[in-house]
Amino acid sequence: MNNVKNILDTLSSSIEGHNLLDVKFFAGKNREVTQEKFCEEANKSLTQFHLGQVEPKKSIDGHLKVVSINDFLK
Amino acid sequence: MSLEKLIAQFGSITEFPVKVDTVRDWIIKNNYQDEIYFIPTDIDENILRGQFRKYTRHNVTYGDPIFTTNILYAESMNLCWERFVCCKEMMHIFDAPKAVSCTSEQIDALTSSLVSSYIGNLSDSYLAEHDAVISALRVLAPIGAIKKLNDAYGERKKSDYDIARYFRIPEMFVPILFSGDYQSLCDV
Repeated sequence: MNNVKNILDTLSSSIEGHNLLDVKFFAGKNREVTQEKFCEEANKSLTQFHLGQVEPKKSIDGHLKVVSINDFLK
Repeated sequence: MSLEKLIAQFGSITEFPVKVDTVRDWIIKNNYQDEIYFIPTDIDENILRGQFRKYTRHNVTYGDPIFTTNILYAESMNLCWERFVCCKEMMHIFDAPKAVSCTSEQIDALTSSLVSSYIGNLSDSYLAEHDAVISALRVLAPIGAIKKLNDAYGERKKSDYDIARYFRIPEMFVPILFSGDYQSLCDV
């Protein structure tokens, strides 16, 4: 529970007037990991963002070539 | 329902891949969120591929709340995984109120179930994680397009890799797209 509290503390201390509405996760393939380690990793990424060590990306796609389904089937 | 509107919007596309940036822009343009940020971070993708945080903030005291979503993801992933994780996490914007997790008890229950191989009494927020995967597939690889590919896939003219590369999604999800269960689910 302490690790969950760390996540909430990082969330609430980082943004003024912050009102948390929802938190979700996309777990990795390692299901042998402990909850403590999982929460540690979640908190690590939040901390990196709030310390300004990482920046949002404007585009997640980059320059992807678009192909019609008919051309793909040829 | 707003998620169905989103799926319908991208369901008629005939050129791929669907841009995840375009999905983000549609959500903002239709006022489901004011801001959505994709943030690469140095986390272990084997443990955590990404996380979603929805919150409100204020620019000025007593100002209108700004509805914001941050999606933090593992920067070590390849492009297909990055796109899929960000798209899946955006699907949580449409989660039902009962599936929300924002208290320490709710987050404790959710994280506990995510690292457990025991399938017990599953919470709504845990089930929402799985629903979001399906919704992301429906947006990035719409059922109309998949049906056009059914024959080529069935006759092995197109492999899992070919399909994954075309839609720019992780290859492990391709067999799901061509399963009877998935296609029946999309037809409902």
